Amino acid sequence: MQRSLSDRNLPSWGHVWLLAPFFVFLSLFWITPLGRGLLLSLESDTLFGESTFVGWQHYRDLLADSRYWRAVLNTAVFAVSTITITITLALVFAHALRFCNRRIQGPLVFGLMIPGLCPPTVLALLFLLVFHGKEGLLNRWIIQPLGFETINWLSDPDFILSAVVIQAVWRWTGFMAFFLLCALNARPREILDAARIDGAGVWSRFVNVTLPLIAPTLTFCLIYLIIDCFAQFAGSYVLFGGSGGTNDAGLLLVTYAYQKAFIGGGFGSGAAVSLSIVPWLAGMLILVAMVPRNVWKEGSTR
Amino acid sequence: MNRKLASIGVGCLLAIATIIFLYPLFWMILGSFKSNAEIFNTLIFWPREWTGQYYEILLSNEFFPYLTSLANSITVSLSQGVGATLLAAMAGFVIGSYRFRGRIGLLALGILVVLIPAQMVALPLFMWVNTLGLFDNVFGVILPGLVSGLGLLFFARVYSQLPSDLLDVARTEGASEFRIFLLTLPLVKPFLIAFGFAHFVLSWHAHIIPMLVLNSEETRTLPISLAALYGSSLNSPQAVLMAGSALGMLPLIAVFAFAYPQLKSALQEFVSQ
Repeated sequence: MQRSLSDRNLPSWGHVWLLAPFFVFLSLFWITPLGRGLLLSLESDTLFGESTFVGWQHYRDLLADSRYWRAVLNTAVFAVSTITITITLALVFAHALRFCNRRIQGPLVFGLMIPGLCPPTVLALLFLLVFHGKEGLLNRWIIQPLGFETINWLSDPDFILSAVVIQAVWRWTGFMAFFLLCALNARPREILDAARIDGAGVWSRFVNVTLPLIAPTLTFCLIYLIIDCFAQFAGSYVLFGGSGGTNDAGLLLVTYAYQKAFIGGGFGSGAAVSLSIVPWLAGMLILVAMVPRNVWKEGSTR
Repeated sequence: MNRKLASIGVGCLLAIATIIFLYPLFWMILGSFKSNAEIFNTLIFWPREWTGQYYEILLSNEFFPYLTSLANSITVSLSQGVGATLLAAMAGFVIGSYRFRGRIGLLALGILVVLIPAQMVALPLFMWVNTLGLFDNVFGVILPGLVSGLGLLFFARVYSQLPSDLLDVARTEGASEFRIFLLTLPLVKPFLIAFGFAHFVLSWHAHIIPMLVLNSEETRTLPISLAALYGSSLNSPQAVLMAGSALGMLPLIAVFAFAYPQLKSALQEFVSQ
């Protein structure tokens, strides 16, 4: 591969002009607020007048704040269950889609992806139907026929979070199935045929051949979903009107930051909550990025 | 023969799954013709009598200026979709197709932007937008949305796969870098459309920043207006909300239908590289 510049050269002016717009906007609307947020999180919660520098006080307070840990736990449970269910369903759908007739495959994918277009606010409205008190669809068609007591999805603390999870799963499964379908289609035929001739069973082919081949796409899906879950706000905001639901059972990290800053008036501690999400998120992402290297090593050497 | 039967069976199961996935949307569209009592009774599927009155109420601006909100949403999402794609493609073109000092640093910065999404700096961003005097102004929402870390990484990868011969030929002819970038655009068209579409949808869905920045009814985007109405009272006719949501889906579905074929070819190419 011939490139006209080597690693040691500085970019030419022509390149700088092309790079500039992106990085100017980046420093204006990402670096600046981020820096300001960091400073803010080190200052006291004074709404009017001079605020004083309090150092790491807000972060220390968070460590002792049981509502904060509730929000961390809720977000983690929400993210892990949403991702597990969505990816599993999407893998099943993607395999099934490959199996069915080409002519109906297109419309089916298109239809499955439409929920992903729904704004979270619209979604919450729709889910009135599904979760609604006694009469909701889930109660009427699944819970009652199975002989269970009806569940009040939006106010029973044991089930509030599942309402948010179901909503997220409904939204993203189609898109993820579409990504995975493209990845499945891109698998080289020879490798699949070779595995079949070697007598590998369906499950063994999936684990040893398919999984390593679609690992990059799978990793992308995981990263996308993790970020979306951690930044989740709209869905729970509309479902619970900015509160955490009964007993904070549906309190997520971004909602908590919003409450602290705009309902409690504590801009400093609100900023601290927001920024404390970053290490959690980074930890999850590093975990996901590490997995393919160790577990899926064999297949990646194609 | 067996395989064909199985394929038909799987197709039917998938069709049922698709109907389940789309059912809430059907319900929403039908709901826009129902009275409150009918909406809250999930046993009623078809409205008792079809009436367009809720659409009339919606468009008469009794609750909020619907068409203004819709137009705001379209303005915000369209400019963000086009703008973010252009900025990310320009920067990604340089980072993806040339090696230079500081390149890895820029890529790392891109990853950091992905790691810390705008929602997490919403509060300081809101204060900063205020300082800039863009409070209650659509530009206060549009400008921050022009930066996409994911876009930078995406286009850096797309351009790193582009054969370099073409760029070299253009350069020996003395074309400027900007001209060369313009020349590459048709080659990466599916990627441009795929990313532009994704960003369009994401900015349409954005909630926390528009909610903080856009204060008056005239500047609000559609999801914010709908959420405000939803939160205000459960006694207002829910059908109006349903009607507003249903109409508001139309631009999204239209853009999706336009982008879908390109989306497919872009992804197919992207994952097979």
